[in-house]
Order: sequence, then structure tokens, then C-alpha cells
Amino acid sequence: MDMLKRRILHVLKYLGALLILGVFSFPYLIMILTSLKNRTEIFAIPPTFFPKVWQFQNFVDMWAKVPLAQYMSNSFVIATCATSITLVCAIPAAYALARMKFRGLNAYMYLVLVTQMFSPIVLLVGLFRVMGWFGLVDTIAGLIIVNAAFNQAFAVWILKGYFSTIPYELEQSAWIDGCNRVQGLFRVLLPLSAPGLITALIFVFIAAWNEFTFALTIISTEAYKPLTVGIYAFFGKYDVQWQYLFAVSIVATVPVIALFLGIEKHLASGLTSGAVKE
Amino acid sequence: MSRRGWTRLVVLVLVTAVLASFSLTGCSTASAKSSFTFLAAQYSTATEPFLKDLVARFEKENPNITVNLQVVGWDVINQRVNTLISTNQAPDLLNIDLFSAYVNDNLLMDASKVISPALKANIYESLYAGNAIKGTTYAIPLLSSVRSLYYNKDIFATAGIATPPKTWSELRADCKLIKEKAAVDAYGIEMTNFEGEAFFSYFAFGNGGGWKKDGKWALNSAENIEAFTFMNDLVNTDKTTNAQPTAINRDELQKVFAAGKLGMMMTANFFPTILKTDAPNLNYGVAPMPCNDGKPQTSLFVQDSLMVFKSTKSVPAITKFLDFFYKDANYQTFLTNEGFLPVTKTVGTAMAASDPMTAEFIKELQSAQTYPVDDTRYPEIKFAAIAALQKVLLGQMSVTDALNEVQATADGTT
Amino acid sequence: MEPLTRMAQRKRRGRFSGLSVYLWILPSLLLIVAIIFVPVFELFRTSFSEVTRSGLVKGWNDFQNYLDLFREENLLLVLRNTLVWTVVVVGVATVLSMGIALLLNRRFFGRRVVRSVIIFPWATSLIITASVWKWIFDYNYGTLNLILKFFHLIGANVYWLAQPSSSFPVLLWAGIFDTIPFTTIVILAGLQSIPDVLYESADIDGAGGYRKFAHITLPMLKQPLTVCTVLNIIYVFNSFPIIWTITRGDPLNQTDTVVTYLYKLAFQVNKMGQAASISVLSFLFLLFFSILYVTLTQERKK
Repeated sequence: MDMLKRRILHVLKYLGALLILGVFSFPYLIMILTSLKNRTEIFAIPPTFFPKVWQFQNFVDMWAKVPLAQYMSNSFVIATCATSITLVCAIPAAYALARMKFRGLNAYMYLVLVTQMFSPIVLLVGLFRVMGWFGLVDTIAGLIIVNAAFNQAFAVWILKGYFSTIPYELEQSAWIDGCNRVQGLFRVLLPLSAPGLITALIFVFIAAWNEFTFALTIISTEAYKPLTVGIYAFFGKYDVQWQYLFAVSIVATVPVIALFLGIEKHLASGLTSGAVKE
Repeated sequence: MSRRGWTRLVVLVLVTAVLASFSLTGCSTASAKSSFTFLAAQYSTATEPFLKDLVARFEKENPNITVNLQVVGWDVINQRVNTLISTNQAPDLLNIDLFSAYVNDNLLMDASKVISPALKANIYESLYAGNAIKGTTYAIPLLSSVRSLYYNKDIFATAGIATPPKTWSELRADCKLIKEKAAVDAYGIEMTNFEGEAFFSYFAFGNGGGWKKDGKWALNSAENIEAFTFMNDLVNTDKTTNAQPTAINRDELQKVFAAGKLGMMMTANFFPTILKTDAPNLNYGVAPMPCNDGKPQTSLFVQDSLMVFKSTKSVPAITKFLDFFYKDANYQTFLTNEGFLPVTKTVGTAMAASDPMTAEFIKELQSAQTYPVDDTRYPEIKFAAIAALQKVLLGQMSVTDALNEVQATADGTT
Repeated sequence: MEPLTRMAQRKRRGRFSGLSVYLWILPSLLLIVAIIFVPVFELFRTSFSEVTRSGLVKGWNDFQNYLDLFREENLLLVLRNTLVWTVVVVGVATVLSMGIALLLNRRFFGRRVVRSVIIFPWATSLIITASVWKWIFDYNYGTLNLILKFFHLIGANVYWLAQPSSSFPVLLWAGIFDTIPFTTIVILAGLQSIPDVLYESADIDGAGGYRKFAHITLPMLKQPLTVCTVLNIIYVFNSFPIIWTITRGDPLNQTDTVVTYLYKLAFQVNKMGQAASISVLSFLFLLFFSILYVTLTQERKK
């Protein structure tokens, strides 16, 4: 009986996995298939599912249509730097919020959150003014700082949440062993909060990688454009070049997926459970 | 020790943050050279390469002038310009369609103070004067497009129609024939925020109505009511148009036409340029816009312009640049790339001589009308009018009630 | 744990003077104040000012923007849409993510593949994912119509995006689809922080799957769940690209939410003041809601 139940669960598990796989890859399958069609076929009525003529050339041509390599390297610099600054600023803040009691603690949690409560669209004018003061209009540095600032909320909240779930005793025993607070943070807390740190890292990286609204306003020079703004070139006034838009988007997804695959096993390693047992 | 430890951490964090924010800042050196910003709208993927090349050649000829070119998509150009204006960083030279709001805020320079006499003399007087607000022209026409009827000759043949419809009664009859015999949607109509105003104009102008009468909003005129009753009949009584005019935009309709699944539609003269690449084998024809029986032949034209903001310090450089841009060879390449009609006489003559279709378009342009772009409230009224016609097409309101409602909005009595 | 923590707190007070605590927060605070404070201030100022159609701010106008806003005939419709949009997207996405995370937390062949596929929607920019959905549900070219016709489930193409009755569910689905990756990853990370010992001792007590879920998993997930629900609600409320790409809030504002509506106010009809005022109001609502939500969930802990 128990054996049968386990079998059923086993089958259900794989069915579930297949369903997730199907649903979540479906739109991207369509995207890939569309990116491999030629212009006429994309707008054929009735449409085709698989390309009649596989137009692999689209993936070659797109590099000539826009300075794609430049866009990607800009996006990479922006996302990497923004993620670093975000985490460097958010880790001490989250630590203080999780471990210390002080006046204004709750207020700060909400202050950080408040930054997320406005639609970016209405903040553009003010942000543009600030960028002007700092001389950051139309610079990659400006975009990095903006991304770092707007991602503070997420990083602080998520890290505070994870820090709080790590038993304080572990750090306290480290203090008894002669560590100070900073050492305790680096040697005990951060390794134990790896899943949380990675969540924050992925989130901030992806958010900065995909940020569009601010980039569109702050950056105007072609050479500084990130990918999101760059591919906007495929949306003409009278025409959208779908095959290139989708082809470029597929390529743009690769670094993010690669990053995720690279650190996913840390997310999965279950560091905490091992440590608490000791 | 411990205190020093965390102090050091905090200092490190701060220094990193500050350094990171400034190290990447590009530093620009001030120069004695004249420079100006040109914010251009992106018409197609050909726009940016063309303008870049144009600017590069101009700078080579004028080594003391730097043009800071920015090409922005139509989706976002309003947002960009408004942000720049709000933060006192208006561009020097701007390419856009609607400009009355800038004139209203006294931001634009009288075009005659920028444009060279030779260039001014070469621009069609009617177009230059047509851009005037209270007698002053603030925006130099850059290009225009005129709307005509595009029809699929094969579908017409299947339906047994010899010539494209000239009047509304012919249009209505032809639509029925096409729907019956060729089993495709006969007439493409859109009524969305994308370009519903164009379709508003096709029907209103075609019946001698329009947006304004004697300088006042006249949206519920008898002519307009008759016109939109006709439109509603095509859509909801005859059902000879595409099924959901409120859910498909003009670009999407053009794709359907290109695929050979639409009998006819009204659109702009850049359509042949698109069809050349999208549907090279499509057997189509172009005809003047059908108007109601007994009403004068007219159509819609749309014009985009170049304007100079008062905040500029580089008028002489801009004057030079405009001369360069409108130079026949440059200007004609630009128009041919994008499929637009010229505003200068020399290029107009040259293009009409080389291509009969362009000659026909330029002829249609003469009797065409445009949107009330000189009114700052036009964007607001435009969306109100589109919403009203959407209510009509979706069967939520009668034509008269809907138009009365927009008129009330325009009069400010709601 | 409690007495030890308190002891440590006493100990810490000895080590840290009052001000030093704030130094830990300073970098984060500086960043926020330097970049975000002024734009927010500007927004409030704009909402109380007359703004010309080209964007010049003229000065105080006696709450006129707010009064005009309440006169907009579609405001109620837009608010209702926003409520449905936020509640349904966050609610459904959280439930689905919980299931997916529980599944992904088990070991099975191909787990790595499924885990990476789940982040596709997140790794792709929203505009692109939304464009693909629009493409799939298109009347003329849509893959969905193609598939349904292939299996003879429909005779003629269906106009999915023409009427709000079918287009709004499409939007909701696209929203849910895009919210799942983040929520799943957060829950998954939370699941992995739960010590195995807890389950092991529950096994010894003979607890079943449901009881283990209700008494160990859920309580231990409280922190991450609270965090991601609050953040999700704010993000989804303010989400723009999905609706803008697929329906633009049309026809007749029937699929507009506050954000697409204020975009139209700001940049289509050039009423920046009104756009700012609706933004201030939604901010106040979100702030009130967040405080309420967090307070309530924290209360229950005690």
C-alpha cells in the first residue's frame, strides 16, 4: 500500500515537472520558431507553426542590424556593477535590521519599501534632474547608481528576512570564540544565508539587466545604450521587425540563464540544514 | 579592535559606492566649438543609419560644429521631450509631429529666424504657412504623407469589380460584392488609440465634415453624424469590414492586406515601400480616397516638422545644418528610404518626374486636409473622439449621443 | 533561544553606542536619499501644481489635479481593474509557486532543467515576454488559434484580445506567468533554509505529509512569504509593460490599470499633474496596505 502510494507520488512528480516544463517553455519555443522565419512567413495567413524555410541567417544578420555586442557589454557592466553596489550597501543594512534593535528600525524598513511604491514613469522627470546635478545624464555610471538605489528595497528586505531565520546563537558562539561582529557576519552569517544572498543577487542582476524605463530616459548616446533600449530600434513607427527582435531577445537571455545555472547549485546545496545540525 | 573592524567595513563600503559612481562618469571637456542637440524621431530602421551618416558628413564639412544626434522611437518621444523640457534641457532641434503645446509655452523660435531664405523659398508656401499658429510659423515642414485607398486587384477581379470605388455608395456595394464572392474582409478599418484619428478623418472629411468648423470644435456636426452612421453601417450592419475595428491597428491591418486577405484599406503613401519588401508579389492598386456622393474630393495628409527651441545658442550652426539636410541629394535619399512625400519644390518636381505614383500622391496632397494640430487640446480631443467611436462600434452608444459627448468634452461643459 | 538572544542583546549594548548602529545603515540610506528622494519630492510637488501640456510646472493650483482626477469618468473602472489585477495575479502566482517550489525541492531526474526553465520569464525582458503572449493570442497569426483549429476545437479564429472578457484573463495569465519565477525562487530558498532535523523529528512522531506542511513548512516560510507577498503586491500593482504591450488598456479603458491609465494621462493627453496626483494616491494606498499587512503577519507570530 505504502509502496503503491509512493509510486503514484513518483509518477505525479514527473507529470508535474513535465507540465511545468511545457508551460514555461511554450512561449519561448514560439519565440524561437518565429525568430527563424522570414518576414513574409511571419505574417502569412494562415500562419505556420514550424518555419517553412528555416531562416538561421536571422541570427547572423541581427549582429549587423544593431551594435548588439556593444549593447550586451553595456548591459553586462550595468547589471554587474549595480548588483555589487546594491549588495555592498544592503548587506550591512540588512544585518543591522535583523540583529540590532534601534529607534527607527521599522521606519527604515518602510522607507526602503516606499522607494518601490511609485511607478517609475512618474519619477522620470525628478530623476532626470538629479542625474543632471550629479553630471550623470547619459552615462553608464548614472544608470548603475539608479539601478542600485531602486533595488535596495528588494535586497534589504530579502536579506533581512534570511538573516532573521539564521539562529542568532551561531553568531554568538562565534563571538565567544573571539570573533567581532564583522567577522561573525562574514564567517558565520553570510555563508549560512547563501540561498538568500543568491536570491538577492539573481534578482538584482536580472532587474538591472531588464530595466527599461530609466535607461530609456537617462541614456541617449548609442554607445551607452543597454540591450533593452537598444533593441527598441526594431520597433519602427510603421513596422516591427519581429524576427530580429525575437532573435536578439533569445541571445539576450543567454547570459542570465548562464548566471543562474552557474549559481543554482548553491541555491540547492542546503547549506543551512547541515550547519545547524553541527 | 572590533570597533575598528566594522568602521573599516563601513568606510570601505562608502568609498566603493562613491568611487563606483564617479569612476565611470565620462568627462566632457568644454570646447569653443559650436554644438547643438538634434532629437530626431525614428521612422524605420533606416532612419538612424541615414541620420548618423548625414551628421558625420556635415561635421566633416564643418569641423567647428558638433551635432549631438539622438534618435528616439515614436512610442517614447513625447515622454523624452516632456522630461527634457521639464528639466530645462530642451533639445536645440527637434523632429516631431505635434508642437502646439510648445508654442503655447513660448518655447519655440520663429522659424523664419532660423531658416535660410533660399531654403524657405524652396519649401511649398502652403505647407510652410499651414504650420503657422496665429500667423507665425514655428515649425519647418520636414515631410508629409497623404492617405489613399489601396486595393487588391486579384480580390477585385474575383468579385467582378472593374474599377476602385470613388463614392461611398460604390464603396458600400463593392464591399458587399467582395465579402460575398471573395470571402475575405472587404474594407479595413481601425478605431484604436494607435491611429483612430486617421479613420475619424477619412469618414468626416469624406462627407465634408471634420474636427473643426470656423476655428471651433465641430465634432457633432450633421456631416460627421452622417459619416459615422455610414461607418457603423459598414461595420455592424453590412459586416463587410474586419470583425473588430477596436482591436486591430493600422500596421496590423497592413499586414493582413499584404497577406492578400483584405480587399482594400486607407493608408499612407509609405505603404508601397513596405509592400516592396513584405509582399513583392502582391497585385495591388492605389486610388484616391472614396468620398460621399456629391462631396468634393479630399483626403488626409499628415506632416512632421523640425523646430528650434528658444533656449538654443547655436542658431547659425542649425541654419547651416538645415541647408545641408534639405539639400536635394540628402533630402531625397531620406524620403525615398522612408517612403514620404517632399516639402521642397525641387525635390517634389524631381520625384514626381521619376515616379508616376509619387506624382499622383503629390497631386492628391493639394486637396487633402490635416488634423487640427495648431490646437493644444487636440491630443485630448483626439482620444475622446476615438473613445466615442469605439462606443459606437461596440454598440454601447448611438452615433449622435457619442458625438454629442465628445463635443461636450471639447466645449468643456462636462 | 529567547533568553540567549536577550543576553546577547544586553551584551551588544555594551559594545555598540547608539549612533554606531546607524552607520551600518548609512550606505544604503545615502544611496536611496541621493537618488530617490528628489524624484519623490518632485512628484508630490507636481501633483499640487499646474503643469502645462509641454511639461512646465507653473505652481500651486488648489488641489485642482486631484479634483479633476475624481471627475474622470473611467476612474472607478480603472481602480476596479487594478484591484482585480493585483489580487488575482499575486494570489494565484503565490499558490502556484508554492506548489512548484515544493516539487522542485524534491530530488528527481531533470530537476536542474526544470529549475532553469522556470526562470525563463524572469530572464527575458517583460516587453518581450508580453510581445510573445500577444503574438500567441493574436487573431490572425496567433499560435493558439492555429493549434485549436488543428485539433478542430474551433471552426473560425477567435478574437482573444478584442473583448475584455477574454483579453483581461490573458493579461492576468501573462502577469501570473511573469510573477511565478521570482516567487518560486524565494519560496524555494526558504524551503532550503528549513533544517532537516525538524522533518526528521516529525517523522519520528509519525506526522503525515499534510501535518508536516502545515506545522513545519508553512510557519518556517513565514518570513520569505511575507517578504515576497509585500514586494509582489507592490511590483504587480505598478506593473506596466504587460498590459501596455498586449492591450494598451484598450478598448475604452476596459483593461487599464492605474499605471497604464496614468501613462495615458501623462504622455498621451499631456495631463502630467493628474498623472502625478493618481500616483500619489496609489502610493498612499500601497503604504497603508504594506504597513497593515506586515503588522498583521507579525502580530500573528506572537
